[in-house]
Amino acid sequence: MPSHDAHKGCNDFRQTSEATRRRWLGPSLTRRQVLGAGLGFGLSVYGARALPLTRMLEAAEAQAAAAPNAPVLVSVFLPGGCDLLNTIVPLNDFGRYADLRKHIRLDGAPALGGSGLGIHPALTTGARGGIKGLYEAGKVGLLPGIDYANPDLSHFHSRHFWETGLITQDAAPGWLGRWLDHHGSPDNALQGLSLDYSLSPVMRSGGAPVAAVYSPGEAKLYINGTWGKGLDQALAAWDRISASRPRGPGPAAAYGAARLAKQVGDRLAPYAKQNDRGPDPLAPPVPYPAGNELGKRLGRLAALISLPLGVRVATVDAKGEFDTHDNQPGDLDKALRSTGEALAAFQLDLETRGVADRVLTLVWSEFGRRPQDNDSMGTDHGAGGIAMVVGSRANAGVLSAYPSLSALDREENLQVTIDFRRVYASLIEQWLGTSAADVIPNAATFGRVQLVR
Amino acid sequence: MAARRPRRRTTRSGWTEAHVRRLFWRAGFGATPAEARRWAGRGRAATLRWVVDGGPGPQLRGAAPTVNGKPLDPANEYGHDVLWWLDRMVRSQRPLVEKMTLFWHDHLATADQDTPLMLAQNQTLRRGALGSFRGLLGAVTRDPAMQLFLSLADSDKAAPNENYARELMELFTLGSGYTERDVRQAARALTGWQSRYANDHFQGIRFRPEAHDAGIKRIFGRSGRFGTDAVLDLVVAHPKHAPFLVSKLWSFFVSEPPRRATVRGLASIYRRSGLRIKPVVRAILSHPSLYRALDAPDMVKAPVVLVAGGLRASGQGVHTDDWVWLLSNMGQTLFSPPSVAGWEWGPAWMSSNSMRARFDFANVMLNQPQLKVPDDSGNPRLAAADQLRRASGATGGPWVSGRAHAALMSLASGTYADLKTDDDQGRRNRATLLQRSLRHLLISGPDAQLH
Amino acid sequence: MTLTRGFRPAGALVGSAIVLALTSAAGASPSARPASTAVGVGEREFSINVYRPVVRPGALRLNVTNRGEDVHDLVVLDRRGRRMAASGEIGAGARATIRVTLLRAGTYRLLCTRNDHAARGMRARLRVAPPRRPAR
Repeated sequence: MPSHDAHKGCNDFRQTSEATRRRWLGPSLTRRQVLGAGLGFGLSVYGARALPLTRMLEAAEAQAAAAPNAPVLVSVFLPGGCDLLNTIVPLNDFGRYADLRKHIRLDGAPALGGSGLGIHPALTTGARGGIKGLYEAGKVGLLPGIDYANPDLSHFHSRHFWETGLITQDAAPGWLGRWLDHHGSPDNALQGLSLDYSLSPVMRSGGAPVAAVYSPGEAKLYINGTWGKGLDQALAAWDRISASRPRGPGPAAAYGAARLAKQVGDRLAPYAKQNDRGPDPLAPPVPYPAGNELGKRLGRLAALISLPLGVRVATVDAKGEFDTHDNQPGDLDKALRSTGEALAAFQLDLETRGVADRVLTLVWSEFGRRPQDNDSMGTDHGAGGIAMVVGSRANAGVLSAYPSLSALDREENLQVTIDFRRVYASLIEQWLGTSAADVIPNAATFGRVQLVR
Repeated sequence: MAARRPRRRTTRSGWTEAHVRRLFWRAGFGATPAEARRWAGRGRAATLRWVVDGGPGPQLRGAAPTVNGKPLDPANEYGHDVLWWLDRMVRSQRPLVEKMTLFWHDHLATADQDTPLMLAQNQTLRRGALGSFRGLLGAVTRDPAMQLFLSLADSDKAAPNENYARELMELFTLGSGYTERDVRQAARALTGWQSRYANDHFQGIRFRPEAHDAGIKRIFGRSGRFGTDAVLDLVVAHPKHAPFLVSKLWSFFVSEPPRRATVRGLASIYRRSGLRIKPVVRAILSHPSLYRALDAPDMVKAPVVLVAGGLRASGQGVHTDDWVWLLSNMGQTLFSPPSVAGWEWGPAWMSSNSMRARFDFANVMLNQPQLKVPDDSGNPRLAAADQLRRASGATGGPWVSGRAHAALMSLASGTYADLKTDDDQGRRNRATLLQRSLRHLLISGPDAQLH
Repeated sequence: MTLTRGFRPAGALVGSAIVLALTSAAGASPSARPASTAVGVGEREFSINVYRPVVRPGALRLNVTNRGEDVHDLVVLDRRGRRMAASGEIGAGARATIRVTLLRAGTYRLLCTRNDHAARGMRARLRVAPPRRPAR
């Protein structure tokens, strides 16, 4: 029996910005956006279609027009540390698996072709057989055993490493933000999009404009108690004021942010619902699972990707309890079901819109879980997790070695079989088509894995 | 220039309202028009003395705020800790003390601890804000919130936790000039602090000699049976410490990086004073670099400075909890810095999202009693300049650039162009909307983000 | 550090100005509508801290923040172990408010019911002091 104490991991309270930021994004405050706080009267009275396009908008459209088929990379984060062993079940070593998972063994997991692996039944539901259906259709590449050497089992540390692509506790821009710093546009904030109220740390950039947009209607700038022509005039004055290009980093940042804030609202205004009961211009062409927040956001994202907005990279966080210290059977089933069904609907949506060939989704979590279950019907933080790439052009199959259940590491954790930075470097080169070294330090040392076909 | 172009009040020393506004924004949370007038008249020396040393009278002016009809309950109500400190920033008659408390909250960052511990730490930081750095460092090293945050509590001789020792050198005192070995040895010297629980309640932290590593340690080339205070004495005596700390203080107040000679001069003031903070801050606030380009502010206001300053300027108190989520959306929740390294200041505050939040802030401001423009209150016969003057007066005469001033004037003078001359109701409506728009743009525009 | 009255268990840690703010908030009930008293509660692995551990009988709002890394919950039990109120799951970094009216003076127990969290230290007490004026 391995020592339990060494692995509970949750005694570590030091946190990175992501978690701290979330403190104030809990339900009691996020629902109190200005629009919902009784200040938004007059907003829906007047649509924004008549607003003149600024130079910025033309730049954004030009970017989209210049590369209408530019590939889009979507990052879907499963917060909490998704368990590998019960998500993708090692049917080919079932005896050892059953020894490790004394309390929460998953019986009868449907087999994934001839891979020797099974898949959690919750991932077989949804459009066209869910994730399992997509796997069989050649649209899912699985990455079991993903992590980094000497894994840090704090959520916040590990998450920070994945977000930045750097093994450091120092603050740093996110890896997709850094990619935009090198290869993005200097004036289209929609190129890097977090479908959320605040920017994902993955998307934080050093200078490239990026945006967090939960829904297009909430992005528009408006002035309390103004509407119609009066509001138009005021926002035109905003444009004139913010068109200045003052010198010095502080003024440049303030004026640049003023231009971008307006730009994001203007660009998305035509796609906002004109009022609460009006039609949603972004309504998906395929059904999404009901009451599924990830699905709702992915549906909006599919629509935004299909429009000429120049979206290049996007982040969405999944909902659900992946940090399954206890009650894992129920919690993991629920979390995987909602995630899988949302992803399956998203893929069908992209195909229906005819843009599936240019969208690839990376699904990841900050770490895996202990191979041996605990006494609370759960699993504690461990190494060697699970990630996957999903898309019409994903290299399908099992793309990394499934960690051995008999050769565990010194801490009795799964061996890491693929470094997440190998996946990042491969995505940057194979999918985004640029050098990985710009974004991932020492990219050459991580090797590559074929993720795209 | 301000929207309401103020008369240049120049005393013989060349001390103007613009100087006062610059000093009050950088050392505090802005100057009201009355303060700018008063202190421009009294001159440079008197103003600096008041800012640095404080004046007579109570620290907080005016009545304590109520939110939803009740006094603030900082320990127990969500967000009231933020409001409680924000209120001090708005009402303080010692704004530099609050500003320096903010500096220390960022420099000695602690987060995610129980609210009463964070509030107690805040008082520790305020008490030591302008005093001896060594004294402050000793208090913070013993502070329960800090100890729990950086795992100094319960670091014992069997397994010294290096977290605090590392941040002490890297972030709090030196930045560079030490080795991994120094960190590990200092971690040993810092062992012995233990958290205590009784009756299921946290009872604080106590030093237990039996948990302390009493052996000989070697730090910065010196050997001894060092304990906590010896480590703190060693780090503040390290040659890197004074330049490190005075540079950080300088950057808090002045946008241009300090010259090498300036750092040397400040470090010498700091050392000669026995590592006191106030003389260094006084020297920085007196430095000509602080007053450069008075007509073109170039530092980005931190979110709390924007909010506290906006409330002060317009004569508002903290009477709604909306500031809490607004500050969060702008990227600065007090008592919750993103990491032990604190917030990223300067241009990093600005992004399309944070700008959007600052725009929303202006909307909430327009809803406050002092700034609200009632329906149908517009006067279309008011000249453009008078409309702008009225808006500027209500918002505390914020600075706007020449170009922004011209854009606002053109907005005010062109607003009725599409209306018939006999459309009285339409013109009155438009005048109401114009007054709201002008106030909003004065609070939300890019110039308002700078000080 | 100032030793203070009125906030006893964690009192040694709290500066005097804050305690003044607390007591004035507790005493004030300006409107005719009976206002509930807020009680801040912090949870983490493996402790529960109650920021106002002594209250008067009446309606309470327990404002719970999970400052830990695991999912927790909070349950209020009376002296006989009867469940007076409970939160649902509170995720890491999330918050929950529990409304409960405790009219009977005495000591109530707060605990996290997930797994062995209570045994590992996630329990606390909330004392309802007798009303200021005797009922009879």
